[in-house]
Amino acid sequence: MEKPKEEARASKKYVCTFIFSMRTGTPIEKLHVITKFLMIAAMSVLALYMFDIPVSKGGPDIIGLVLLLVLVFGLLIISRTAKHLVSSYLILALPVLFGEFFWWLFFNGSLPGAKIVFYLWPGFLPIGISTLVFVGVFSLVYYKLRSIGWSLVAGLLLWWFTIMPSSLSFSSATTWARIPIGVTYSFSLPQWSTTVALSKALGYGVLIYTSFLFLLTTRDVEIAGALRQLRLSFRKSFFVALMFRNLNTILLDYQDIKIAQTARAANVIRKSIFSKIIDLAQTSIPLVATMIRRSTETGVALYARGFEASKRVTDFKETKRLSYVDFTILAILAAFLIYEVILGHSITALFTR
Amino acid sequence: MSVLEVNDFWWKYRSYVGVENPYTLKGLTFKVEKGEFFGIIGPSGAGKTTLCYALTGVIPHVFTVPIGKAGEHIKGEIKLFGQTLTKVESVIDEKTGRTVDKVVGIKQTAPRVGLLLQDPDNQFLRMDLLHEISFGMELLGLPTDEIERRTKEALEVVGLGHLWPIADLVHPSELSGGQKQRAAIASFVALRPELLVLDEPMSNLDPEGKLSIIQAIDRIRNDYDITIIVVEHNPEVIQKYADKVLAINNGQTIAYGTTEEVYCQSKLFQENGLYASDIARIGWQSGLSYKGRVPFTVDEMVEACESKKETVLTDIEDSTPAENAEEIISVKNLDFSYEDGTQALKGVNFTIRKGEYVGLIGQNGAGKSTISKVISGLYKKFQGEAKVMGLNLRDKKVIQKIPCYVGYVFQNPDNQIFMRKVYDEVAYGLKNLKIPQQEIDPRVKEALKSVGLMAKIDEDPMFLGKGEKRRLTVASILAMNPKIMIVDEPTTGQDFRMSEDIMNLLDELNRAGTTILAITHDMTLVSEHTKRVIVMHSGTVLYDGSTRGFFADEGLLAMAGIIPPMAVRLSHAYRKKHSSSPCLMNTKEWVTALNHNQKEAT
Repeated sequence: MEKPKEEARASKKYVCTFIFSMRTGTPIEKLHVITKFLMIAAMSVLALYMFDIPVSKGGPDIIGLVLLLVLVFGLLIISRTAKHLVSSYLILALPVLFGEFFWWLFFNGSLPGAKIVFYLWPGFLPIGISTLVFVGVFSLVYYKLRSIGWSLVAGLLLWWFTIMPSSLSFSSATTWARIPIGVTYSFSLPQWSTTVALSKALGYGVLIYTSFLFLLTTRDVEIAGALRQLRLSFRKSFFVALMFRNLNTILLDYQDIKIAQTARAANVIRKSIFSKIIDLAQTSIPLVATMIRRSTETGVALYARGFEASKRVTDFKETKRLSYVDFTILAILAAFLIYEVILGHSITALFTR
Repeated sequence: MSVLEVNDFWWKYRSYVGVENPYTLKGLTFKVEKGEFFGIIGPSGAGKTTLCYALTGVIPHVFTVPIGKAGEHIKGEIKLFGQTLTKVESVIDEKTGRTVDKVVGIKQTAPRVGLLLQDPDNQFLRMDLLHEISFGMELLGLPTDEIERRTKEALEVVGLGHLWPIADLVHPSELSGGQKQRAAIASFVALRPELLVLDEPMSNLDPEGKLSIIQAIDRIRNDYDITIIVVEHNPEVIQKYADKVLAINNGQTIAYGTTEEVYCQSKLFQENGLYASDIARIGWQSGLSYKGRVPFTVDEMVEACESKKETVLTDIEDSTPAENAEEIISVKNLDFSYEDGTQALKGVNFTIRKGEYVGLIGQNGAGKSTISKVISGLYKKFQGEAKVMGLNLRDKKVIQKIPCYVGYVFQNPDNQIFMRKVYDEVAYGLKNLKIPQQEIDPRVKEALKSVGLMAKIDEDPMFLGKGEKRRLTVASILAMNPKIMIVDEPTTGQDFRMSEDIMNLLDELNRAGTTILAITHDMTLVSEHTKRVIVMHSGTVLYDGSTRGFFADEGLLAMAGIIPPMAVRLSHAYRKKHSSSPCLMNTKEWVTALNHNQKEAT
């Protein structure tokens, strides 16, 4: 009897989680949800601390943050959930992280030092290799596209990139003559800006992807069981778990609604971002209607099972004990927190010393 | 002993918008005896689901009444197991000293009463099958070994025993339509209720799935001595299993008695848009009778036909689609797998020509919806070749334009209504296609007229009835003037009259030149409206040919797991005695054949 049971379990390769699904039998699946939660909380605290180390104390811990991000992606890959993330949320999160990077890059004037990043105009017109680049690119693009406008744009862009290195070292070999025109326009940044901006992007990346890691690898039964282990009442535990479970339901509904919208020619004509946002907003109408109907029926289903009248509730295969793996992971995280936050060491400093 | 006694019961939902609601249930009186299989029938919007809520205490404990105003919402009494379940009594309020109306009776009916809702998805509360079934028992505080034993047993009773080893890993959404219904039934079977109320438990299932569910329900009734109340449109189920039937319309009783008494009233069925079985309809329209009443079963009808010596059925010739008509859909060696690795389609081949009306049939999970979504450009990652109007669906630019040619009416209307006004909803697709406003207006109005929703043009679609929403979704696609129309379960959850209206509309469209592909489990619909069927089985095409050819072949029907409509089963039974008889597929053909004989005899 045991063998067919094992075979049946082995054949079930994926299990549904709050969002999408996770491979069964992976180390992440075996972890206790409390460990997962503390692991994510610890990684978030570490990320927040690492990108917030002041310049006077050595600056953000970039290598530490990269390690954390590698760890998060490693866990996503181990749980075989990275594919879902890449196909959906990675694309949504990347613009946010890039935005974060550029925001800190350009609006962080309080940092010490200044460094020219690039010249908009050097104050003179250089004649040399760059001129040949312009002529070559212009001719090539014109030959291909027969468009003077596009040829000019391509030629000037390449010409500008040829003459605009931030060091502006025009050697006599590449620049044969300089014709002074106007004044110099350059863009400069504080020396630490890039490091700080990168650390912020990496740090928020860790926060975002650890949250996904939790949602991608957790199920309602784990939450309900863990909360009951933490002495929360059955009703409260159940409703927290039900709330998370609904993420999964909403996601399934949204997929159906999006397909129905596509069938109504929503993607036939190329639309502006504004129109796409309106399309997205319109999915909320069926989504909310479905949610209202479902919540009413959930109330009925709870009544029909005797939820209101329940007094003494049995714990049936919901709670599980913390294993030695859980304790090992928690110990490693604690050590990491002590090393970085309490003792104030930086992994970057360890490498650059 | 009566399990339920309903005495002149009235119910009105509370209103949250200022305008008072009318009574949904109006003076219902009936009894359900212990161990009975009690059927409730009625057209859409008759109040059947509300009645189920009232019989299980959901009304007034989940759908409540305003404090002190219970008498304005509830009249009469419902008794459950001899005790008052719902009744309004006047009591003196201790604080104010005034007389106020108060609901009295049993507050919690579980676990003695179970209620299975129409859509199992909406009543699943957990993320795995094991805890879904054990949930009610956990609430009861049963010991863990008892919960485990009952869960395993409940799964076996409903035919899901094979899922026991992986019950903790299976999410309810991974189950097929039939399995979901079985799982929902199992969650109540495990609670050992004395009364189980089922609200249209088979509406989304294929014929074989329906049969297995009803057999499981009947088995549970006998094994556990449970009283069953079933709301069901399918007359075959009610006629075969129900001891007594209550027919309601507009919240009122229109018939109540034994199944035989109710189903003999042809006028009742015609006037109220109720589903009658093929056999009953043939009997009513041809005047054949069995022991002084209309025949109910195939055997009874064969006997009725035999009693008329002059019954000779003439052969029927089907019109075949023109071979030289333009190929509008072409699928070659098509494979499709979902992200989790499930292979839904394996080497599918077929061609559909312009102007055809094709039924796409097969069991739940056979691949019908998947192939339809590939054809309509909604699923892109397929292998093989798929062409619509000669356009290759592998081309990304082509696939974006497919909604201009292929209209897809989905099964659930709630998932495809995007606007807050009926007019805007129909205009939505046209605006997406950048049709000029002066052209949009007449197209919207024409589409709404054709589905009979012109009077609702300014209303909010969310407040339309289920049948109206369904017609609105048809109108929304219709306005886009697609060359091909795919309709997924066009008649699910609709009463007989609404189904007829939608099917007549599709017939009209087909006559006007639209190619129609109807995905359905309703074999009566297939036999009455389609000339050709494509039968899917485990992701492959099992049969592609004339509908008559398919229904005539009993071996093929068994292989596809399809139970044919009663009219076809009647033909099979009749042909066993008269081998030269043709395979008549539907009521119309039978009535024509029988009446033709009568005329000739006269």
